[in-house]
Amino acid sequence: MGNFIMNHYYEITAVILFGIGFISLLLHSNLIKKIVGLNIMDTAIYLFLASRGFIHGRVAPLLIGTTVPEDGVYINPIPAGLVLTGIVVSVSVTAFSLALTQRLYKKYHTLNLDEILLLAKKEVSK
Amino acid sequence: MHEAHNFIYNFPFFCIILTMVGGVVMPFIRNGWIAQKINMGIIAAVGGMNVAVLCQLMVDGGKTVTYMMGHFPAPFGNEIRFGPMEAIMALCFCLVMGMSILGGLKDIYHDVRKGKQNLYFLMINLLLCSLLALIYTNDMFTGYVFIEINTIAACAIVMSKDSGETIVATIRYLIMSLLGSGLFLMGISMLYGITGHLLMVPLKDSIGDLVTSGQYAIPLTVIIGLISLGVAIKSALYPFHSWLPGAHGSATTSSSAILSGLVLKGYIILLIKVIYRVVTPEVMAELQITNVLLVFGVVGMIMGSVRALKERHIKRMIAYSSVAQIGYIFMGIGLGSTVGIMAACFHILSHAFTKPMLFCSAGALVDASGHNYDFKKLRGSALKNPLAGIAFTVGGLSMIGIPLMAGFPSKLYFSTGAIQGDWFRLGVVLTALAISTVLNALYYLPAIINMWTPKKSQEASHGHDHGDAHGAHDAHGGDAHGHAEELANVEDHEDEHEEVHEKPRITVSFVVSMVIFLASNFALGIFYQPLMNIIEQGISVL
Repeated sequence: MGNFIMNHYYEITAVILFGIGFISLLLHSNLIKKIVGLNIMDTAIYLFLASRGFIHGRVAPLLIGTTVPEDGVYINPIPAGLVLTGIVVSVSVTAFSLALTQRLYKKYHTLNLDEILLLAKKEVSK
Repeated sequence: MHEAHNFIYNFPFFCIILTMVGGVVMPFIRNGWIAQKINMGIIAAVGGMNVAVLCQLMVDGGKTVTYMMGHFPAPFGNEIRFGPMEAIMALCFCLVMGMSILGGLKDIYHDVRKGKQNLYFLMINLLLCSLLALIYTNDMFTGYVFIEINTIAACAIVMSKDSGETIVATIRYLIMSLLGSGLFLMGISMLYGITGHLLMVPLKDSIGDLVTSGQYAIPLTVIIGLISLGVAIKSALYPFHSWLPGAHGSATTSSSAILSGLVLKGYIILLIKVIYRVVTPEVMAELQITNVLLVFGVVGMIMGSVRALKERHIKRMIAYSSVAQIGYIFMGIGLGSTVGIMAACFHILSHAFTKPMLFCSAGALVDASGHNYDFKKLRGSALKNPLAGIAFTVGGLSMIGIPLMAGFPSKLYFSTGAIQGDWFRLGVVLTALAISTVLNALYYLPAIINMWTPKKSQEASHGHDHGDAHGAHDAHGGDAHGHAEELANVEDHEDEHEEVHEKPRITVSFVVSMVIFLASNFALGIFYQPLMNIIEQGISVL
């Protein structure tokens, strides 16, 4: 078991972080904390991808000089590409949710989602 | 695996690019009216291209075509793959999208601020683009990226009404959607970790190898569970539906129609593709995931209807009905047989044609009764706008599953699928279908009867009450009498106010949209066999 943890500590950390982010996105009532949770969750996935995509002793697939090295020297570049794409997606989603949060704060003067829901319900019943 | 030689096989890619470019162009067109016309043109063009693709595929014997983007082969390239099922889904989605916009056009101009209307159509274009990409893609990660685009566009069309209520609904929708897509992304990352592939076809081979060798059994279950759970949250399967009534109930008419009819289905189509192209139904059944989906689907069918029964807000009632219908679709997937999936696909189409019709007609009825969403206050509204009344009636009856309408064949096929399964499934599914049908009737029929009942009797009693009140005021003498007159004046004004809404202006676009929705509803209900053949052919080569 100890050996397993030592060999897979990146993945284990990633899954724990994912859980932390998921729970804060789901359960926190503060909107900013929710968005922070979202970012932790996404970052955990990038950690997972990056750690799975790296192999000790190999290098990035860049051609230096003119000699083409034999197989088994390069790392597959796709996981890094996925991480980049994922970062772009999470930046845009974060921006969108922050904009929404700002609108809500201007309207209700609180960041607590439970309070906002109550206020909105009152507004509708009026 | 056929190489794409025919020019028509470029069209699915053109569709995605055309809608995306349309979205980029929209911010530069300041006038909402022109933006809407361009948007309709794009939707029509995309629909036409899909007709061509479908015809060409059927001429070529209903095969599947793999289209390599930029001719890069498998491990580095990205692929589009389409067969008859994808083509017919894309075609119907374009049709429903166009008709939903036409049906709620008046409300879009009313609800969305002037000067921002072009941005609404930007979001519609992006939404159509992401839906088409979800239908056509053959790559898991592309699927994820377009899921996120879909989420943002869907949230934006909910919040376009820009009231406190819709912004709150949007943020709840956004949070739940992000949870769902986070789970989906984690699932894909793990899948990539154990197989090293993202394209669906190589994934299927290596998952087949893993299953036969017995390696990674637990991670595989976790991965399929994560992907299914992510999709279930995003398409509002019963216990994860909490965001749906708010988002669909408060948005502007077209947004509700598009969200209910199309956005929920895009994810499910992706899930069906994952089941057939990546995991294979046998592995799903072996890992017991189909049974879990079946249970959730059955619970959703019943609980969605029960919640709809309690609802007094007409649009929220229709929204809860969507929860029940999503339950039907997941139940079909959970049956685990080909007939079950066929029934689920047919139900995706029949619901896509029925629910937007209900939302658009409900929007018009609400308009006819002076912007009252309460169920009781809609009394007599169908008499003021008979076309909307007819559409709502047909939609409601179709949801119940009356023969000749779109809801009937899907229930027929769900039952057929259940009969082919074992005794346990047969009992559960048929019981759930029976209960759910009765519950559907229990909330749609009163609504329909209510809106066709003239308002006369209620008004008479209303007037009588007021007469008594006037009498009491008279007894109090001069001052009170003046007060009573004031009251009467106010009442007159209210009457005038109601008379403004007495004859709602029925626009041409609304008539066109309702007529096409009604026609396609009956067409699906009566001539379902050819469509079913296409779906069957599509699933067999999926």
